[in-house]
Formats: sequence, structure tokens, C-alpha cells
Amino acid sequence: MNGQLYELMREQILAFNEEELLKTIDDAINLGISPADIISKGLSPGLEIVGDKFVKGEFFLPELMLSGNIMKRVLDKIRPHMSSSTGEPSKKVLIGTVQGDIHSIGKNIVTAVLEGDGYEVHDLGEDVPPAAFLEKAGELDPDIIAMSALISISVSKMAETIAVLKENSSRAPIVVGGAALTEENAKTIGADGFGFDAWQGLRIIRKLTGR
Amino acid sequence: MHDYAASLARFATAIFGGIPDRVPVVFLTSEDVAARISGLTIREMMSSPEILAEKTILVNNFLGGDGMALVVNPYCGPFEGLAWARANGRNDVFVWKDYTTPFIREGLLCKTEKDVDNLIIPDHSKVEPWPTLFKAMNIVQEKTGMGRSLAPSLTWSSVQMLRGAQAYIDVKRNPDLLMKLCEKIYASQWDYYQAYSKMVEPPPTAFECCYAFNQHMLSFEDAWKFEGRFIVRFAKESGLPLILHNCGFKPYHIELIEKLREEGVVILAVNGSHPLDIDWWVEFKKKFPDITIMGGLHVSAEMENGTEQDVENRVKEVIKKLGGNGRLVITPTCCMPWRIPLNNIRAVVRAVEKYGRYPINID
Repeated sequence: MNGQLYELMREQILAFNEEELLKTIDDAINLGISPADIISKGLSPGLEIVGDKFVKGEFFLPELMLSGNIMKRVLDKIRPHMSSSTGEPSKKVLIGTVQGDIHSIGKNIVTAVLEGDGYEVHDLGEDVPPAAFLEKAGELDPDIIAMSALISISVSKMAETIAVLKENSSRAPIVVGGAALTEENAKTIGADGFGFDAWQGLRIIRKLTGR
Repeated sequence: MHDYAASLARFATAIFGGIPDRVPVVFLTSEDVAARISGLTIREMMSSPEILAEKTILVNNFLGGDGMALVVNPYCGPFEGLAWARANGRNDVFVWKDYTTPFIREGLLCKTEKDVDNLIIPDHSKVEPWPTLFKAMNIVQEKTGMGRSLAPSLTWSSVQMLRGAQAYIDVKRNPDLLMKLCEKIYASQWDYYQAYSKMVEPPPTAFECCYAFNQHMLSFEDAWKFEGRFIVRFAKESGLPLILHNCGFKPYHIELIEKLREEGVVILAVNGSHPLDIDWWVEFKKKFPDITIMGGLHVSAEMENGTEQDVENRVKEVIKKLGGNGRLVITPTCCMPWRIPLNNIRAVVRAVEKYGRYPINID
């Protein structure tokens, strides 16, 4: 029975059928299935398939973003039931587009995907100065700091922001992405990880946060 | 003194399929590079058509290529965003920067369906920056015999500016709304074409940006639905042959060209740097021997991170493999970023002079 429900969840994720998925989650909770099992056996495998299809070129940004949004809503529904069974708080990600760059699309897609994977994302917005990253990092103590840059001039500001954070003992690994960057550039400016696209970014953030 | 007539003839010959005296080299200038070379801020350069024209000539002469594009990009990207903002009384959503391309804040002008319904299409003959850009093109043309370029971005560039990341959800959840927005953008681009034709010249070609056609963004079917069909409509209504520009990382070059040709669209050239593998372009050339390749270098590869020798080696290899029978324009793509060493830009010109004279004879 539980196996069928997990299978149904995966199918509903792949069909982007949000309303039916929410009903299935209700059924699972009513049957006493633990939130941890719902996530690990039903939802996460579904999201993994979405990611695999994205990598293979069968799914694209609309599907990736849609699944992220759906997963976020589902996790919001499950969260109140979670404390007793898992106890582990969500990992925190501080994200923003660096100063000098006001592009939001890439950052927003990454945010949707991260939230759909259960991360607690704090979005600083666009054109964010190094001092704002530093201040919020001090306040939040995030597990990851993620930065985006679309235009090349912002790479210098990204490097400056990374330097400011590291000089001030920020413990969070820094992951960067965006069309202005290559993996090589990312290493040069001191980033701890680089995501070519939202899915790759998620995988690196999972690795860096021990998931 | 730069020989503008020779540059123009070289470029036109390569685009229309003849063998020029040497491989042309064209730089897609950007506001960043222009600001570095001219010493003026973007707004200072745009403060009058005369200043913009003067700095355009200065910057292009410094770079030494065969092109004469306005240094404030005349394609329908960021500055079309400015026109959208102004036409809709929302100067607050456009963010100016002194030494780099200014942009519109994505997704603020068309947050809701009502915003899409109420969106006012810019009158390109009146709404700045277009009158300034058109006048500057005419001044540059008068002084150099070059400098005119019609470069529409029929839908996706504006879709992203106006609707932001929500557009990607709309593709699946609200395609009718997205199509309504695309129709408005098309109407705007048609207005741009008409204003250009009236204020500059009836254009011989269109440099058409195809941003939806990237595999890491949209399926080909969705890209066709929300952009490709508009490219066909524009080509048919204007009667213009197209130069296809796509600076994405995973472009659908082949699929798009095949589909456009099925629809009867004439394609003269394709401009892009990806895939970076030159052998991929060798196969492309075999498949489409009548299409000129404008590319060869990616601005964030050798140009940005390599040495002058790396740049020379890359240009040499591109000319050797792709330049043999014409139909090649060396064009580092896309716009040149701030961090590119100016010496690397000049290395491109030197390498083209060294290896690109016809008949090509390398090794």
C-alpha cells in the first residue's frame, strides 16, 4: 500500500499535478506514514527523476521550476508534521545577485529548485553589495551562500564579495553560478562550488551540506 | 586611416557568399568596452547622437575590426527594456550603470495579467533611446559608409525582461497569457522595424536574436511556439533575409535553421560561439554550405582568460578549418566583457591579418 502511494507521488510529480499530489500527501499522513518516508521514498525520488530528465534534455527550465514550486508547497504542508519524526532543521541558503547586476531569472529558478528540495532560502534580491551579504550572513549563519551573476563586470564584484566574506570568517561554503562564469573563473575568484545550471547547483549544494 | 569601404565590401562579400580579400573580423561591441576605451559613462555617450556617433567611430577604430556597430547596442535587448520602461511610465524599473550595460529589472512590468493587457507598446520613432540611436547610426553612416544594423529580438528577450522567471512557469501553466505577451512584443518589434526603415534606411537584412532556442532553457517545440513562429512571420512580412544570432550555451542551431527553411525563410548567416568545438562547425558547414558562419571565438574562453598567443592559435585553427572557401566572419561572441584584455582583442585582428588572406594557405 505504502509502495503504491510512493509510486503515485512520483507519477504526480512527473505530471506536475500539484492538487492530486497534495491529496496523496494527505492520504499518506492519514495512514500514519512518517514525513521522513514521504520525502525519502516518494518525493525525493520524483525530484531526482525530474533532474535526470533535465540533464538528459527531456525536461527544461519550465519543468524544473514547476517541480520546484510544487515541491515547496508540498513540503510546506508536510513541515508541521515533521518535528517529532525528523527533528532536523532545514539547511539555510543565503542567495543573491551580486552588486552591479540586476538580473533575477537565474537566481529565482535556483531558489525555486532549492526550496523544492527542502532548503530554507533567504533571497537578498539583486544588485546586492558585499556588505549586505556579510551582514545577513552574520545574522543568519547560513549553511551555504549562493551568488549569481549574468554580466561579466559583476564577476569582479563577486570576487570582492567572496573575499569580504572569507576575510570576516564566514563559515558557509560559497557557490556561484550564472552566464558570466565558467568553472575556471569560479575557482579563480575563490568560490567553493560552481553550478552551470540550477540542477547542477542543487547537486553541489547538497554535497556541500552533507546531503 | 581605416579603410571603411574595404571593410564593408569584405563583410558583405562574406555574408552573401563570395570570397573576400581576407576573412572579415567583426566585434560585437558592448557598453563595457566602449566605456573603457572612450572614458565616458554610458549616459554621457548617449547624451547626444553626435557624441554617440563620435565614440562609436573612435572605439571601432581602436578595435580595428571590419564592423562599425554602435557602441550602445542597437539590438532589441537592454535598451528595448528602457523603451518599454519609458513607454509605460516606469523609469523606476530601469537601472543605469556608469560603466556597464544598464538593464531593466526583470519581471516588474508584467507581473499580472492586467499588466500584460495594459502594456503600452513603445513608439520607436519617439521613445528614447531609439531616436538617439537611429540618428547616431545615420551620422556614423555619413562619416564611414557603415554603421547601420536592424537587430530585432522578436519575443524571448523582451519576455524575460517583462515577465521575468514567471515566464518559464507560464510556458506550462499559462501559455495563453504568454502568447498574448508575445503578440504585443511582436507588434513592438514590428514598430521598431518600421521606425528604423523610416528614420535610418530600409534594411537589407535583419540580425535576428533567437534567445529562446537554447536547450538548457526551453524545448525546441516551446521555443518554436513562443519565438520561432514570430521569426517566420517577421521574415515573411518584411521579406528580409536573416542573420541568426544565438549566444546561448546550447543552441538549437541546426533544428532552427532546418525548420525556418521549411517555412521558406532565407538565412544568410548564423552568429554564435557555441558549441566551442570547431569540428562541430566543420560538420555544420558541410550541412549548410550556403550559410556564413559568424563566430569562432567565445568571449569568455581564450579572449578573456587566455594569452595573445592562445587567441592567435584559436583564430588560426578556425580559419584553417572553416575559412577555406569563404562564408566565414571571425566574430568573438557575444558582447565583449569588461575583463577582456584589450591586447587580446587586438590579437584577433593581427591573427586574421596573418592567416586570413585569401586564398587561405595555412600549413
